[in-house]
Amino acid sequence: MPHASYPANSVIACVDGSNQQPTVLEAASWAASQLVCSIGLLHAHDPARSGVASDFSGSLSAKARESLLDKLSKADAKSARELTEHGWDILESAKIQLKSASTAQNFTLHWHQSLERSMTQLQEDTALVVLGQNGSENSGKKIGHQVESAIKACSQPLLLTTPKFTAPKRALLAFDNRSGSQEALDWIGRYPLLFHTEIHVLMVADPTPKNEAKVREAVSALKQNGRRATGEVLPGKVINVIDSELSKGFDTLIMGAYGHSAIREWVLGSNTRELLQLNPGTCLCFRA
Amino acid sequence: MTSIKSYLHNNWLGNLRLDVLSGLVVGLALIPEAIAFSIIAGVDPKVGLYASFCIAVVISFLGGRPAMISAATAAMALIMITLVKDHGLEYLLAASVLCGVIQFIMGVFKMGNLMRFVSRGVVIGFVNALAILIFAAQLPELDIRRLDVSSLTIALTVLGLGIIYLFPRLPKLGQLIPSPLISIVVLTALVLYFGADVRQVGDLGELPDTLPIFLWPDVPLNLETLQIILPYALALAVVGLLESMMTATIVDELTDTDSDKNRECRGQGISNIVAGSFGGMAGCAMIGQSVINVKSGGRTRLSTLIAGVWLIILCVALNDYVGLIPMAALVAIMIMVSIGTFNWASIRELKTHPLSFNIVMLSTVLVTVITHNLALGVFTGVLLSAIIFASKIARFLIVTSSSEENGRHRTYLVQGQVFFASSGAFIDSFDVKEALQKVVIDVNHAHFWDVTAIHALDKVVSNFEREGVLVELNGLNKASQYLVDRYLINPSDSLKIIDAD
Repeated sequence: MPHASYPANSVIACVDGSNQQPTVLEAASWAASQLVCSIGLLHAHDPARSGVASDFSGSLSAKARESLLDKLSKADAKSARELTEHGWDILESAKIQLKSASTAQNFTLHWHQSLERSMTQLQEDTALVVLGQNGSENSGKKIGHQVESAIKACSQPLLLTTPKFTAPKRALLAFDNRSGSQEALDWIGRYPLLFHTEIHVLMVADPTPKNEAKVREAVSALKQNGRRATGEVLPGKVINVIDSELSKGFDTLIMGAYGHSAIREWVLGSNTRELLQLNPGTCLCFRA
Repeated sequence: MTSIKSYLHNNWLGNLRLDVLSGLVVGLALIPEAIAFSIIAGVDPKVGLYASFCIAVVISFLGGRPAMISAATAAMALIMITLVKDHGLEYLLAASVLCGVIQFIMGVFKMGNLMRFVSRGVVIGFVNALAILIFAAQLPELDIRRLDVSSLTIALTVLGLGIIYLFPRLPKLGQLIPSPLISIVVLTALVLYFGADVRQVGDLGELPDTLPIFLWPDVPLNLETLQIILPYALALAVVGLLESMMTATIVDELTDTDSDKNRECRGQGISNIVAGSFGGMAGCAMIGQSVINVKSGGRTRLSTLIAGVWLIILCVALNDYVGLIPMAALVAIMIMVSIGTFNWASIRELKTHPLSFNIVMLSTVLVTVITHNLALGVFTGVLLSAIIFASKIARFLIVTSSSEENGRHRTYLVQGQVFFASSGAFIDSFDVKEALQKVVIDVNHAHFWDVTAIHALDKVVSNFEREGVLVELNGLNKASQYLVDRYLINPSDSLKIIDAD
């Protein structure tokens, strides 16, 4: 389904009218000012198709199909219309909030489909997607119920925000040998998003010469692109090491996300999920 | 975890309350239908009930269309009649297993995609024929000349129909309890109370008193058996998939969601294999019950599973009472099903739809009703649609000509589609008897589709050449040229020259 096209290299901010919206917009404004690009406001809502159902009579009249189809499509149309109205309200309020914070050009995307599906339909040339990490205020969940599937579906880099967003000063890059973190290195070098950010490359592994060489290589690649970078190899369990490192004044975590197969993830759990559970502040995710 | 959670949510638990309720409604409604279809097929009621249980449960996990109801069906039962009559139940079970195997293979080879060759006219013809056959199958039960049918039976049937259609009009209560069930309860109670002497379900054969057990069909595994069951298995497989695909399309339309047709084919196959090996007859998706399920709010696989499980629980628990249901109640329900299945709009639309559509629809109905074979009816319909389509496209061929050089040269301009159906007209458009020096055939705006078309072209060219006319062929496109190279063993000179180019 080709949706209308939007400007290349845009930052897409996912808004849903929740209490996370202000930080998402703040982060998006910051990203757009770093990348010098437009901001797209995306509101995606999947219309629930539960239809009208109170008829348990179990009988079939003549024209049962036609009249049922008519009823159901009318009910769908009505709920879709309401959702659409609601969606435009959210987008309008986001626009107003954005105007006070940013001078970047903005545009809106309003889709009737799940966030997951919307992620797959973003333009290839989208620079960055900004999404609130936490669940809605009522659920109190650290990871919103649509967030993980959205990260998995999104092929662009994804900036996850928590309720306290500040422009990243010190970022921890969780580095391993998988393509996700390599993608992160390339991207950071190519785009000026983290130009003013100090980046610490951390590999959680045994500090063998081979691993240390890899980290040195990564650091020098960043330096070549004019970024401020340091590096380190630390042994231990990924989640514990990163947790203790994060407490040393890092405001941002950069990582490759969901690099393992679905089966491994199901059996052993996912590092990505555990890291997000730590609530590491702002998180920049790259899919392999 | 997320993916499993979202799978559970989307496929099983996302609509819990309504799915459970609609599953219960459908499970109830399935019982009389399964019994009635067993009676159509000429087997014990338990064969249909076991089949409905097995198919509904298996398909709820393996099907490609959540919320669709599959069980023993009338369409399948109608095919089985002669097999049961001539060879008995065991051969029916074997045919059911084989039918499942065929369906599974068809699913693996993505035959679900073949549904696109079934035009709307055929689909409507199919459901109308099905409705007529279901209705016709009830007539013997109402035949007053039979000894065991009295005017009381007819009165009870009319009363049953009255309850089915009028009960839902009661405020509140009418929408809560399935009216077919009320009809059964009331009629059974009346018959028991007055001790009326009418035919009852118990008179027709054995009812299930246990869960189905695994029983491989007791038939000799030899070629002779295969010869007997293969034709039936094929017809069952085709009709089962056809009705399932049609029902899936209807449910897609009603819920505005998509389904996986090839997965549904494979699922239908496995569920029929399971049904056959547990002493049940082959089945497929049910248009009527699926509509009822959606109408009652069912949207996920859970509703189908609940329907199947509820059906067997009721059957085993109410074993003693099911046998007491008078046939008149079942006849009333079957008449409701046939009325609900029939596409009444298609009669009104006879006046507005094009003749070709009506011919396809009516031939499907006629052939099915005459032969009692839905597969034959659909085959006829598909064939007719193809012929009609071909003859329509064949009209898109225009050959014009102009004369030059004082009538010594002539240029033929061919526009449109040349293929088996239009090649005759193509040949007739050329006047080979006209005395010419040179003829130019301009086929820049024509497409030659098949071997017949290429042979026709060759014939035209060689006819001209035989009359001593110089032929110049203009603009034969690559695809057509390929056909010339490939299929003309000895093409006429003009075609060869182009060949050399």
